[in-house]
Amino acid sequence: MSRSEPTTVVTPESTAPNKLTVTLVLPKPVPTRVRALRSLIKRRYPVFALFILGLVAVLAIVGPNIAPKDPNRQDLFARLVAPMTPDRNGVISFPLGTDSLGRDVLSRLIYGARISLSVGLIAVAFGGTVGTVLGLIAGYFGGRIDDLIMRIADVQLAFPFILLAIMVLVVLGQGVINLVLILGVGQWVVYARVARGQTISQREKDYVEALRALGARDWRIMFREILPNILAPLIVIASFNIAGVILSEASLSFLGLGVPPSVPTWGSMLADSREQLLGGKWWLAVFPGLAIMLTTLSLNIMGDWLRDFLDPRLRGTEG
Amino acid sequence: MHTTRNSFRLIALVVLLAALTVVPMAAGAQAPVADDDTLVVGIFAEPVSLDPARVANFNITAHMFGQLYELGQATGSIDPYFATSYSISEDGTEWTFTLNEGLTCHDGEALTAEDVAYSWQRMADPANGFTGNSAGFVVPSLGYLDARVEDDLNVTLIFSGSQNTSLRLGLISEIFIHCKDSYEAMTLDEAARNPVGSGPYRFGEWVTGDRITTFRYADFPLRETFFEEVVWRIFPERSTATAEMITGNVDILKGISADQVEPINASGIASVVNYTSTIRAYVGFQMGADAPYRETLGGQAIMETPVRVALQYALDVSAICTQLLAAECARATGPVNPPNDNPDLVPYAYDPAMAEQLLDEAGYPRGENGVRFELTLMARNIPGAVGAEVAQAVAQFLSDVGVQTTVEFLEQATFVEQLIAHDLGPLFIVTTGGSAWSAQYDLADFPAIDGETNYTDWANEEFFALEESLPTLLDDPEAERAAELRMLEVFYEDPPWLLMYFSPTLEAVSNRLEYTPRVDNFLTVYNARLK
Amino acid sequence: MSIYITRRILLAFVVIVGVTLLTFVSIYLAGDPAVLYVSERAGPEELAQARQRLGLDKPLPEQYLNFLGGLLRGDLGTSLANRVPALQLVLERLPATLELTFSALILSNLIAIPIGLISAVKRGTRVDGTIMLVAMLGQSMPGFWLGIMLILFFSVTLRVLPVSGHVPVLQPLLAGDLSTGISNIPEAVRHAILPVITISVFTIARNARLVRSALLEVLAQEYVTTARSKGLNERRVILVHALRNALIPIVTIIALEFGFLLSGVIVTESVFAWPGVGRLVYNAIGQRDIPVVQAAVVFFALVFVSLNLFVDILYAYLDPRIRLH
Repeated sequence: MSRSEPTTVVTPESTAPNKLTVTLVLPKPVPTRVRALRSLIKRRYPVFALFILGLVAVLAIVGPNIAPKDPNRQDLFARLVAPMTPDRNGVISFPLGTDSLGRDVLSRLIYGARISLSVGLIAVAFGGTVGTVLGLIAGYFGGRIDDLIMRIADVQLAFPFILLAIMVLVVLGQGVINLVLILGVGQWVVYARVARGQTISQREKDYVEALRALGARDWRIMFREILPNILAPLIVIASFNIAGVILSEASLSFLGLGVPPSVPTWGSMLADSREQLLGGKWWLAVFPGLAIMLTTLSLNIMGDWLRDFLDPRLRGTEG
Repeated sequence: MHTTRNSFRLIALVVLLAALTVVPMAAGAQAPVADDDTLVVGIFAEPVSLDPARVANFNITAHMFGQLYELGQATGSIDPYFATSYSISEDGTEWTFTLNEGLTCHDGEALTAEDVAYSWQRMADPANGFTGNSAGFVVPSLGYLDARVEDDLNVTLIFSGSQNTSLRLGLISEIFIHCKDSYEAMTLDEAARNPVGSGPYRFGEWVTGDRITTFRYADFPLRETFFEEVVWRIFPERSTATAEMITGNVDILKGISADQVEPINASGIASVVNYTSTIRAYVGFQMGADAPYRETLGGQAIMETPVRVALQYALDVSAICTQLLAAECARATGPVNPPNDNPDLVPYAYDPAMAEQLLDEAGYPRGENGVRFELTLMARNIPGAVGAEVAQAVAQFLSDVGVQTTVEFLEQATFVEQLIAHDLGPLFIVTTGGSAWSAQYDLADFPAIDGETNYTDWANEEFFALEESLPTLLDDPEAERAAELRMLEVFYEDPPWLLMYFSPTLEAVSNRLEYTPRVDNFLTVYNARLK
Repeated sequence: MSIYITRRILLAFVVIVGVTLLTFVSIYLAGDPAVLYVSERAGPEELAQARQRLGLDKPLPEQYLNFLGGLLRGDLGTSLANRVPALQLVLERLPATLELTFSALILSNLIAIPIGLISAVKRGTRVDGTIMLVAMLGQSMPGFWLGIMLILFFSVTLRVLPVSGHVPVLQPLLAGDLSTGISNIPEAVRHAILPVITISVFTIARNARLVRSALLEVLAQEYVTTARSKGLNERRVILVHALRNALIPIVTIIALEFGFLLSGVIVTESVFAWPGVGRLVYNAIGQRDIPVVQAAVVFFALVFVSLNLFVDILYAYLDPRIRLH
C-alpha cells in the first residue's frame, strides 16, 4: 500500500551525495528531556498531537473496562440506529449509533483503538527491527552479504506490496496476526536502507576504528556503539510509519483482506461503512474516519516534530 | 520581499491549475441524458469467456444465443424456443427435436439441425476441455452420448439412459446453440472473445474490465426486442453501481444489497423489486467420520440428529431476512424449491427455549460458562444471502442458545476448494443453484452417500435408498412423487442442513422502464421497454 | 563507468527473476488453481484432467523453468481463466492505468512542488504551518473513503461529474485512430477528474512535505549560505541552486515508490469502475490465474527497475562519487 510509506525523511544513502548524518552530539548544559519539553510547548501542534495519541493509548489500554457494551453483540432489530437516539424509555443506549448488525459503534470504536493501534505498533516494531538489523549487518560488513540483503530489498521494492499482501492473506487466511505479519514485512526495506546508509557513514568514524583496534567484537560494535548513533532517523520513520500502516489496514479491509469482519478495527469499520454512505448513515463513516484521521495526523505531526528536534542542523535554524 | 512575491505567483499558479480542473466539470454540468435506444445492465463480475460452450455469465450468453427449450418467465415452465417440439424414443434414450424455420446465426449462416448437433458435440468433446456448468455438470447429469442429424430441421440427442422428463428437459435448456461454420473457423482462444451468436442480440464489443456491448439482431424471428443496444457494465464496487443507478446511468441492477434499497427508492429515478429466487441458502453440518474436529464436543454433537433438530429452533430466519436482506421470506423445509417441495412439512419455528430444552435433553447442558459446546462456521466475506453479515447473525443465534459459534472467513477460491474436498466444517454457509421445474434437480445435491456434491457427508440410509430407487420409478409418476415426498420428510426429520431460505433477491429497475423481472436466478431484458 | 552500468543491468535482471519466483511460489502456496477451472460439482477425476490441461500436473520447478523460458522469448503464457495470452490481457488494460497514474503523477507534482517550495521558504510562519497541516490531513485519509465521498458530493449530490467509468484516449491513439482519441478527450477528462484527485491527494501531500524537507536540508548547506553571502538574488538561490539539488532525493524517492503506486491504483480502479491493470491483477489473484499475475508483476517490475536504473545511471554521471560505492 502506498500509504504505508513514510517519505518525508530524505535518506536514500547511495544516490544523493549530501546526506543526513545524524549525530547526537548534544550541547551539554541542557538535558535532552528538558529541551524536548521546551520545544514541545513552544509549538501547539505537537502538544495537540500528543494529547490525541495519549487519549488513544488510554482507550487502547483500558478499553474493555470502559466500553459500554460487547462490541460483537448484535441486535438485528436495532440496526443502523442513529447517534443519540433515545429508545422507548427515553434512554440513549447507543450514543454513537449502531452498525448494520446492530452492534454498538462506540464500543467497537473503543475496542478498535486497541486493535488498530496494536496492528500499527507491532507491524512497525516487527518491520523496524528486522529492517534495522539487516541494514546494520549490510552496512557494517558490506561485500557479499550487503549485496544479498540489498538485492532482496530491491526485489521487494519492485514487487508491488499490495500483491504480496493479497497473496499472503489468501494463503494464510485472514486474521489479525497474519495481517500484522504482512504489514510488518512490507515495512522492513525502508529501515534496512536507512540503517545501512547510516551504518556505512558511522563505520568510517574514528571511534569505530578505535574499538576495532581494541579488539571489540563486531556484534558489540554494531549493537552497542553504532546502533544508538543511528536510531534517531529510524525513530522518525517509525512515527510516520505507524500512521501509514493504520491506513494500509483500512485499504486492505476495503479489498476484503483486512481483519475478519467480526473483529472491530477502525479500518474495517470504515470499509464496511461504504455500503451505508449512499443511504445517509453518516455516523458509520464519520466516527471511525475521524479516529483514523486524528490518529494518523497526530503521528505525522509528532514525526515532523521529532525529526526537527533530533536533527541538530535544523535545530540551529530555529529561533 | 522577493520571496513574498514569488509565493504569491506560485499560489496564483496553483489556483489556476485548480481552475483548469474545475472548468471541464462545469462544462459538463448537465444531467446525463439516458439514451432511449440503449439499455444498461450493471453486473458485479466480469465473465471470463463468452464461448457458448463454456458459460461464464448465463444472462449475457442467453441474450446472444438460444437453447432448444428455455426456462420460461413463469416459474417452473420449460418452453419451446429454437425447437418447436420434441419426441422421445421408446427406451427414453433418444430425444428428437424439431427446429423452427428461418433461424440464422449472426454471420448470416442458416441455423439447422447440423448446427445443433455440432453445438452439443463441441461442448461435450473432452478434447476441447470445456469446464463449467455445461460440460462439467449438464453433460454427465444427462448421460449425454452423442447427437445425430435427421434432416435439416430434426436433430436427435442420444443419452445413456432414461431420465425424469422435466429434469432432462430442464438440463437441455441450459445448453446454447451456435453455428458450425463460424465456430469451426475459430480456435478455442478466439472463440472465447468473439462470439458469433444465434439469439436476439448480436455481440458488439467487449472492453475488458469495463463493458460488453450487444446490438439487436434484426433478423431474429422468435422474439421482439425493444432496445437497439444492450450494454452490460461491470462494477467491481457495489456502492459505485448504486450511485450510477440513482443518477440514471444504469437501468437494471440485479442482486443489490439490502442497504442500497432505501437510497435507490428515495432517488425517484429507480426502484427496487424483491422476489424469492430458486437459489438455496443453507448452513451445512459436516458429518464425515474423518474430519479433524470430529473428536471435539461440538464435532460429536452435530453427528446427533436431536442436536441438529434442536439447532433449527435457534435460528430466527425471518429476522435475518427482514433485517439483513430487506425481504420477507419463508423458511425452507428442505432442499427442494416450491412448488415441488413437500407441502405437508411445517417450517421449523424460531423458538430458542425449545432449542435449549432439546439440547438439554440431547445431553448437552450448558456448562458453568454458559457454553454447551463450540462450533466454527466457515463463511466468505461477501454480501448477500450467505454473506458475512448473515454468517455473523447465524453465529450469534447459535451462541444465544449456548452453542458458542465463531465465524471463520475464507477467501473465495479457498472456500470453493475446501467445499469440493468436503473439508469445510463443522458448519459452513453456502448457496447452491436450484430449480422450480424439477424436484430431482434440487435433490441432485445428494446423489449418493459418497456423492461429490454431498458436501455434508450425510449418510441417512433411508434417504439414499429412496434416491437410488428414483430411476426405477420413471414409469410410475405417482410412486416417483411419493418417493420424493418421503425423501423430503426424512430430510426434514434428520436435517443435514440448518435450514434457511431460498435466497431473496433484490433487483433495482429504472423508473423509465416498463419491465417485469424474472423471478429465478436469471435475468432477461426482452420484455423491458420504455414507459 | 560501463562496468558500473553493466553491473546495474545484471542486478536489475536478478531482481526481475526474483520477483517472478516470489510470485510463482506465493500463488502456488495459495492453493490448487485447478479447482477454479472445473464445474461446481466436479470430482477428483475432473480435477486431474483440468490440472493436466492447464499444465499444472508437472513438477513445480519444471513449471517455473518453462515460465522463465517463455519469458525470455517474450511469451508469458496463456491466461488460465480467459484462454487469452496473458500479455495481451495486460496490454489491453495498461492504457487506462497509465492514463490514471501519469495524470496523477503530473498533477500532484505540479501542485506539490510549488506548495512545498512556499512552505520551505516561509518556514515557521503561519503559511507553512497551514500548508503542512493540510498536507498531513491529505495523508490521513484512506483512498477508498475519499473516492466514495467525492462521488457522493460531485456526482450524486451536485451531479456535475460522472460517477464512474472510463473513456479511452491512449488506446485509440495507440491504435492509430487519432480523431477518436482526440475527440474523446473532453469526456475522458470529465471521467478522470475524480479518480485522479483520489490518487493525487495523497501524493500531493506526501510530495509537498518531501519537497519542503529536502529544500530545508539544502538551504542549510554551506554553499547556499555562500551564494547568499555573495549577494545573489534570493529567488535565484532558491530556484536554481537549492531546488535543483533538492530534486535529486525527491526524484529518487518518487522512482523508488513506483511499486507502491499500484496499491492506490487497485483501490481507485475498484471505486471508479476503471478498467485498468490493478483490477485485472486483483481478480487474477482471486482466480489463481498465475500467467496473468506473472505478466502484470513482471511488467510492473520492469518499469520499476528500468526507472530506477535510469535514475541511478543518471546520478552516476552527475556524481562520480556514487560509482565508488
